Amino acid sequence: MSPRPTALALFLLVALAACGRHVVLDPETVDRVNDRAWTVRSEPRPTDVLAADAGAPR
Amino acid sequence: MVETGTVHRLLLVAVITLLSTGCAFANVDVHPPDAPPAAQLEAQGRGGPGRGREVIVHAPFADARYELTRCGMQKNGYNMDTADVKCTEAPGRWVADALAVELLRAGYKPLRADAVPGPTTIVVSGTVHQLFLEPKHDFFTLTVEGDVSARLVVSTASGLLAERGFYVKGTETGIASTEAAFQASSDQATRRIARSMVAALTQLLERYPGLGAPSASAPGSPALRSDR
Repeated sequence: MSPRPTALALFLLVALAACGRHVVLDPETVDRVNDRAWTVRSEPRPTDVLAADAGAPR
Repeated sequence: MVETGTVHRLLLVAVITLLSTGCAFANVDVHPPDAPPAAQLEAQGRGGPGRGREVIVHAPFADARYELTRCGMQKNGYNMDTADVKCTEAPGRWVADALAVELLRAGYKPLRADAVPGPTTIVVSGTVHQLFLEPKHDFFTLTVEGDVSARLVVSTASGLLAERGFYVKGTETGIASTEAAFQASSDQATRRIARSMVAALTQLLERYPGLGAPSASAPGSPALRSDR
């Protein structure tokens, strides 16, 4: 093959490889998106309060 | 007219190209990781951090993945998406079941969604945001990466409401993206996210020792499926 088509073919292969889609994240991004702690939106009522609630007349 | 030699060379390049892509044109099936029988998990869990606390797992989790029709992609040597990876089970059920297995292994008592919660019974629901497997080509080897992401919401009738996102990666390195490589990567990622969830739940419940006390809920069937 002459040099020109060979260069073109190589360019196309490199371009194809570069255009490939990645869905999985790289490890650094995984570390970043992973939550480090719970977000507590509301606390439970203490057990003795619950017991009092359960025993209270309705 | 094109010379015969040139045609032969082009054919040779085409054949080498096809061979180098291997079996990347065939769809691949992956299934949830195999789990030991429930009795064995219970035995492992005795004395574990779960301390017999009851947890209702609302399975299946919601499925909020970007690509709902597949669980990954096969790629050829040029990084082109050539075939699908199919999950044999819906990812919402997949991740919820894996969590139930790890809860049992850690000494919790996972209950099915139809159990009746008491005021301090822990209720866990979740949403799967990612379950995707994809090969990445290195110079001589190939790594199948598996990403699993889910968000858990933990609540009790007594007022606890907490949530946390989890994102983990499994990897399996080999020389080809075979079904076994996809399965190994998927197993690793699934177990990793389930263990992370259980460790995080244990950490959360250390702040509220009264929650999940045994017999807080009416007897319910274990969250594990009967075939495990």
